[in-house]
Amino acid sequence: MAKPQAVEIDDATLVERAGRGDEQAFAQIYCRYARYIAGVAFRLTGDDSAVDDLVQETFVAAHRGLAKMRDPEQLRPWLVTIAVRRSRRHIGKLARARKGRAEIARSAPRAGDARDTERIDELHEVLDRIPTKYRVPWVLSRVEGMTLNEVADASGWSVATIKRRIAQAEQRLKRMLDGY
Amino acid sequence: MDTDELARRLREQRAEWDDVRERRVLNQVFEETRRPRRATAYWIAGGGIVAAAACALLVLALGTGGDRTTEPGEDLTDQGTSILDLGGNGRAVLGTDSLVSIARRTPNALELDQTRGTVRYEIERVAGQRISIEAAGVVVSVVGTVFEVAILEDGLVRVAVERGFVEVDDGRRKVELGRGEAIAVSASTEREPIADADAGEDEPRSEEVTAITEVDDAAPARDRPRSAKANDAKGTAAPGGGAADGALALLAEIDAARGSGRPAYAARLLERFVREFPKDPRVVSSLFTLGKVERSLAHHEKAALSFKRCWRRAPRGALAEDARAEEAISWSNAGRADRATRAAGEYLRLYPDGTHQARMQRLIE
Repeated sequence: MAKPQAVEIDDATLVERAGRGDEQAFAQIYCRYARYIAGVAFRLTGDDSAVDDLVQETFVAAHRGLAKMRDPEQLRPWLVTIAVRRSRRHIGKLARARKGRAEIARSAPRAGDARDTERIDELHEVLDRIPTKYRVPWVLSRVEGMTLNEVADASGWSVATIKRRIAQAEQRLKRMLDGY
Repeated sequence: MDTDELARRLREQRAEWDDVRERRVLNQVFEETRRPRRATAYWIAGGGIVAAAACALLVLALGTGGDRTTEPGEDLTDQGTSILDLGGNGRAVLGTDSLVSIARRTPNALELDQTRGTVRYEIERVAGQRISIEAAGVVVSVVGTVFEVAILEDGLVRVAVERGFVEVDDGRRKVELGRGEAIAVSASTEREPIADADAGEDEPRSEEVTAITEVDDAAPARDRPRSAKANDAKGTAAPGGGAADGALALLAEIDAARGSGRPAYAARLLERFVREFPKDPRVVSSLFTLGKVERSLAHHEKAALSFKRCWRRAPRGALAEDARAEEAISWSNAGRADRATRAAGEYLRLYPDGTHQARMQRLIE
């Protein structure tokens, strides 16, 4: 039996194959980007329990849209765009849940490893206090390190709007963080 | 704290995304995307007509065979990814260029031969029935579970469990693997003949988690770097090349210790891994493994504490439900009925429809 050889197949080829129904190619796309998408979804929402659903929704939508994808080389930004849209829907819901958890946590004893969860909740409590339309571009730009054009593509807003919203977010966060 | 600091701290946050979670979500994606086509087909072939025809043959053999014995030698060489309907016994998802054949099928036994490639099995076992897969001389007996068998280079067989339990027999020893665990073994040349499934092996196997026994000639050092290399390719390995290499080396050492029957040493190494790489996503599964290793040493209190650390580390993670159940069982094994009851009660409150519901109920009663 010939020894298996590791061959890196480019995104465009995988997209083309997956678009024709090759599930192995789709699985390779998933394996290449699922962890990254999970990270983006987690940092946008701050809720680990939502990540599975968001990754699943992103790749189900991708599976259905791959055949119609115009620029297969832009696979990663395209997946991010889907993930951002899905995450945006969750943020409001999660913010309300986190507020409830924070209230419980204030009166509950704290111990051990649970501190990690509390820390991320605290960080996202700050973000929860600015509107989603400011929060998403700020996280994509300042946390994920995306360019303004990339943020604009991912969020579906113009570059000018993105610039304005990031600046607004920055101002609001600065005011809030003064107390931290 | 200023906004730069906030961004930096957020940047450091990572989802507890491990291999188990990745596989589970992929499975859900496939289930979701296949749903509309299910009504009209038992199989889905990513490859050509040849694969489709071969698939259909095997589906026919397994799905409509009823009590008849299927003749050996019916092969399926897959050209893409295909799903085999195993009749009432679940299904198998074949990776590219994998080869599976039926060794034997009787009312009490289903034996499959996997000759090459990677196959993911989603098995639903009927009570009294023995289901096994032989891959390069290693026999994987199924308790009722979702797992993957891959034949690697040099005859190594990698078994990774997503859900439930399997028993891996390399011919000299047997090791039971639970959710999230993986092992790479090669077959011993001193294999005993496989027991005749019709000759008194009809009793269902216990689904209780038992002490882990280890295989002598496991070579998991090859396995860990394999999955970690994949992580590196995705740019998501532990931060810093040196740290990533250190984590990989330590994980390989842990596998080697477990594989060579040194659980106490493995436990110490697992503790070291958790201490030295606290942000590594594999810490959660390492704590779960530590619980099982401590249990194999009859350190039941330590096992309970390890399982507790596991779920506390990722309270909504893929292993949280199992870890809570294992914690309760370990407290019970340690004779700490009060803690066992409390942990079982908490499990039932959080997972009213959980997979360990019956066992937790028994602990409370």
